[in-house]
Amino acid sequence: MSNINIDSEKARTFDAIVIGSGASGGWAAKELAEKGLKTLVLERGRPVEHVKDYPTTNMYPYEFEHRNQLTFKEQEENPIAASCYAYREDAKHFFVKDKEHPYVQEKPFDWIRGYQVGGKSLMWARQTQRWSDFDFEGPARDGFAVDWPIRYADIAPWYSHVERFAGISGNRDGLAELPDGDFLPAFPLNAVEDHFRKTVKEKYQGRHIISARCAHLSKPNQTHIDQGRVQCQNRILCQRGCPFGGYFSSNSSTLPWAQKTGNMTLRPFSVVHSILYDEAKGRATGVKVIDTNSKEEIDFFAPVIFINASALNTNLILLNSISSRFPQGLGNDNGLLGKYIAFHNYTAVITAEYDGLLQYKTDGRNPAGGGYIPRFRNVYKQETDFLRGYAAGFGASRAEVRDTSATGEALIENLLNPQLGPWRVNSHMMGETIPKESNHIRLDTQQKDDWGVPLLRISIDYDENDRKLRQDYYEQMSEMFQNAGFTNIKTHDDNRRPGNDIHEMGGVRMGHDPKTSLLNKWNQLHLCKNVFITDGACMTSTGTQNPTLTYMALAARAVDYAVKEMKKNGLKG
Amino acid sequence: MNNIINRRIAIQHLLTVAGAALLIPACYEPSKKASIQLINLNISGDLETLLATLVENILPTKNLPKAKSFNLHLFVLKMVDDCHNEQDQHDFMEGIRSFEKQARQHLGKSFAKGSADEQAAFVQEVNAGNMKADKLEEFYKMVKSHTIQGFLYSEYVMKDLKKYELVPGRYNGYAPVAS
Repeated sequence: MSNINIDSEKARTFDAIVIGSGASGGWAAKELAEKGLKTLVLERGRPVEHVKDYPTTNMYPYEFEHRNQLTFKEQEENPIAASCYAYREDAKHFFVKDKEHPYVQEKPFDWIRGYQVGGKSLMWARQTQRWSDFDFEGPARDGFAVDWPIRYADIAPWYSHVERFAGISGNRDGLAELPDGDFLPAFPLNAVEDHFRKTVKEKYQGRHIISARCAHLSKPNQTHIDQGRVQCQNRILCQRGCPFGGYFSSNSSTLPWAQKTGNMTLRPFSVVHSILYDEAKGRATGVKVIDTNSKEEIDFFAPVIFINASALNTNLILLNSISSRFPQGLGNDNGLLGKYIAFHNYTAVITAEYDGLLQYKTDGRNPAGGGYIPRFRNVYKQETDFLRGYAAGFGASRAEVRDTSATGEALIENLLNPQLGPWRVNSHMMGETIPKESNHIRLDTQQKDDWGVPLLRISIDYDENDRKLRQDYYEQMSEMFQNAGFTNIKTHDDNRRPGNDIHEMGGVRMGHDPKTSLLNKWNQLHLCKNVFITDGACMTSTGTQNPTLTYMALAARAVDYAVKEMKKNGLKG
Repeated sequence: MNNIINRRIAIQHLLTVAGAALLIPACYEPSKKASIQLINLNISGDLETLLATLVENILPTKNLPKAKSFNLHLFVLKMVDDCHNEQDQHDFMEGIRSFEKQARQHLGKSFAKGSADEQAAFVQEVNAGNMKADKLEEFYKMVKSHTIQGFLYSEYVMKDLKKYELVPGRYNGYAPVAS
């Protein structure tokens, strides 16, 4: 950072600013830097350099003091962070602790955050599916939210662009509801997952079990080797950071790539307070940053600004960007900023057993996690008493069963010679939720954080549609399980709170009309054309897909547009 | 000075626990502290020895390679001290006293002073659930589960015996089961 002379406005002026270094910010940075723009990337957290800053990555389980468990105190002090499946001894250093960054829960909401270079791309679940027109057309067809201003054809080439570079493994399954991408070879289904696939294919029209598509290098191309990444080694310790670069993260892929161009300046420890708006020029001129070490306030300037701060924090920055032109937050004449927040409904799990195919087991580990069931409800037409539907994960495994009843030498003998148990199968639901005005976030009028930024008030909840959808998932999956000969089928209400899906979206939605949306079809603020938002905040509806791939594609697409427009007219339009 | 006060408090604390009076034998002598630093559990050197003997009876490591590196009883203490709630920790302390009390009743001496056969036989009885005493079951369950955990998650089992692969580098979903 020493090369930034903060006393000189010129030294604080760049061609572009990107706020946030997670999956979507990393993509914006890479694309801008590759196109020759001197790009400042602001990250509120600490630096995390690929490999070097993965302290636990090569540790054996016995090297963890508590064998990868959390202490009672850690759990008690972090009910939010500890509710995340990946917040354990090996990766807890990549998560925000509850006390560090408080927010106000008007309704229960688990806001899982990763404040460091790379953001949550370090610990994400790496599942990557394209949206289809069944998703983009959803709001218009079913009469909720507003119509998406884009369709599949608008984003398809950008999905390819991102997939080729990031490395996405998958099969070309030929499904209209889940378009194929530019894939590396898929990780195969195991014997029982495959058995389920065959059963469902035989007995149900329009329902499919496919290999989960994920951001892992099953077979790297030259593009990936050029990034310094090699083949995924099936460790499934991804949340620690991968020394092989086997999965995609900003740290392993886009950020070092942007760095190599010589055009990127990465500034960690930089909390963005607000976007600077020049009323005379009618545009944003830069951002106000608080240096978290010195607590100094520093302004940085650029003709184009990308906000990729993660869905809710992007909302927060806009809400806190107050000017006399925009007293309710930047671009928020219609008062919809922070509203229509939605997420994914992960409240249902089904487990069962299978006593067939006992001649097989699995060997090694599958980084894809198993199978994926694309949405099959209400795809072509409305057919249930709830809107939209759900995708689901599906996995099968054979656990080793150890008899722990004895003591002495017999116990050791039993522990070291486990028996193969039955196949256990499980599925979890990923339901679309309907964005509603009442599901909203706003700034607290009293409380501020250490940097003088107002705390966020979060008011988000499930609704009747979510409950009906869950019931249907239980019924349909149980029936499909029965048809596959699975036994001991059990449904489990996973009473997780909204937010725990870590797929919060919206608040700065895209749309055709500035009266009912914040962003246009290029992810550009309708009312402040040199500000682009391509993270989860831009989502008009949620689909059922894991959303990160879409954010990355939207980021690359928006950069392409922004740079072309800058050359044409300086983004004044 | 502090040590003396702490010891007094510890003794008073012992006395306040129901039934603990029986635990204070005539030959009571102030003992060393536990060999690891604990935050919540108040474990004397004697209790540590008792636990080590119990753990060795549950899962004997003395004849295994790297015998000295296991220290399973210290792992048990570490886990109960750090990863359990207050109730569990209370049960653990109650239970370890019950265990010793039962041992004295059945063996006529402290558990740690029993012969190898006496100790093994007594642990068998506890393991089988035949000993009923205050929080004994809760205590024993915690000890046994963390003993097993510590063993399975040991360098010996995971690395030397190759029960865990850090870098598998493969996945086969149709691996045949050797018959």
